[in-house]
Amino acid sequence: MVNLLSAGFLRLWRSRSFWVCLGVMAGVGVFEAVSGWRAMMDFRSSGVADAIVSLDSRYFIFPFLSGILLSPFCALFTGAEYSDGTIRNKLSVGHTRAAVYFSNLVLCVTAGILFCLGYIAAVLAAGFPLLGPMRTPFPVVLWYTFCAVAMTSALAALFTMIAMLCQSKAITAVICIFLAYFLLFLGIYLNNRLSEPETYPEQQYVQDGQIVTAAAHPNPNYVRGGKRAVYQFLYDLPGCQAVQLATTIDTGAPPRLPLYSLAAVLLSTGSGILLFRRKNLK
Amino acid sequence: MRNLLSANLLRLRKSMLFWGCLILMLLLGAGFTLQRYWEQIAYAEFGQLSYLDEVLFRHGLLIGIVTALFVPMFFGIEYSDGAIRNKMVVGHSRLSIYFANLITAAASSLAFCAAYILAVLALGVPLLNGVRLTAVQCALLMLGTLVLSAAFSALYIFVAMLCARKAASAVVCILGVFLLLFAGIYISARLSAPEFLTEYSIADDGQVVEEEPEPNPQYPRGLEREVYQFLYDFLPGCQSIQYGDMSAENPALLAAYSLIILTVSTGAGAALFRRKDLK
Repeated sequence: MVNLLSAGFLRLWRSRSFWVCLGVMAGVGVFEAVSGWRAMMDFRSSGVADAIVSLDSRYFIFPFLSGILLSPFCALFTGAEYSDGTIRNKLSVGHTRAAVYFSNLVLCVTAGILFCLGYIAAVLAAGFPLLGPMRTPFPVVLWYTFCAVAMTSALAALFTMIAMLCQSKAITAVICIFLAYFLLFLGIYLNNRLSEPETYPEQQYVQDGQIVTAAAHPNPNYVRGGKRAVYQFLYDLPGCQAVQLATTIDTGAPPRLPLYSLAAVLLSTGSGILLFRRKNLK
Repeated sequence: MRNLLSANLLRLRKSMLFWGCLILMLLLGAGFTLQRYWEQIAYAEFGQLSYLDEVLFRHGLLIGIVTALFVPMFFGIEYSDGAIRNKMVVGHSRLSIYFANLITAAASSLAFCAAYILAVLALGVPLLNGVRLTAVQCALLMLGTLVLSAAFSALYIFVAMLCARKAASAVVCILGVFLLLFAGIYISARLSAPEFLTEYSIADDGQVVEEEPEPNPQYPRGLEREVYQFLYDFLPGCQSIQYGDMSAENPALLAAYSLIILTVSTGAGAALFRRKDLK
């Protein structure tokens, strides 16, 4: 296992796709900080003296990106083991299938965490001098970062499972990328559905210079009962969590989110190893 | 060239990927139509009506994604199986191989669009209200979406023919189309920002007083607005967003831009493919 990991890390440091993904994460981090600063300058130049664009709003973006960049990386990095025949070599020199699987999982999770850290380092380095310190309390930021890293690790486990069970690198890449986007869009959809108000409250609006009052009425789009429980469960899954994390910055992400991520890691890795042990590697 | 095309079409007919994408577009067409129908029922008491044209042109939004999946996977196999070298060995020129693949890809994407439209018409005509646009507007929008799908095909063929690794070209095409779509969403948000911000206050006598409007600093002005507007009309992902939310005001211009993209990407692709080392 130690040999597998040391060979894997050597390959990771030399992997072009790893450095490209890390570069994109860091580049987006710098871009977000600079665009926030530009927006603040625009506000100030138009006379809004106390205009502030907080570093917080730029910091909390990386969970959206980490999964999307991790999906092609895991597919290309792990898929190369099949296309280059490395997996057979590893097995023929005596490594177990479980050890091969775990070493790839550790590498993908490490890459995912490094992508997150790449963004964080870049946004803080560029954003701190331009936008000032963060306003969210440090423990909340730390908890948010922990939840986001746990979610990224869960996605890495999911993508590793797909890459280890599918021998075609191209098909793996397609499945992983579409899965990452699907989970993200599902999260956006579920957030919209779950945040629908149960009733539309009494509303006042201006018509011909007069205030008109519209009575409260029930919202037919409100999700109720078992359907709501299913939606909430799906909303807690890794990938969808990115949206939930972004919408709960003020209140703090619910403690169940890292638990869901941990469950996703255990389930995907457990089933992945079981299936990989029975897989015909040709 | 004719032999290449007939061989491609034969392969297309036997391709599970092609039929899978076709069925996906059929299902998406049916799904969007039924969603609008259910919304009409759910909001019936508020008098909300759903119209056929709200979903009829939405394939403009989807076609870029589905073709990004199809083209690199279908044509990338020519490299992995060595079919490109075989075609050249039997005497076909590189240009005819490139153009045969481009025509096949464009025909496939048009078939995907047709599948979507068919599903929408089959379900939408009996379930939804009619079309609010004129016949000319409908024809222009339809033409625009079809030319856009051909432009997407040309871009993906450019990538698939110049990148010998199927996985890498699939990643580039799929991530590229989502990047273009997100660029479209961002530019749409910037362009639709209000030019002035108006605040209201309530006077002592209960009357609502409209404050003097103030310029919105987030509203792009001058050259910046022109650049955004050009990109919004020119980039295929931005065009997709315009067709998807039915905000395309000048589909003839969008179609002209798509034709430019198609021509330039095909010209550049064919020129580079002629010099490419196929090993």
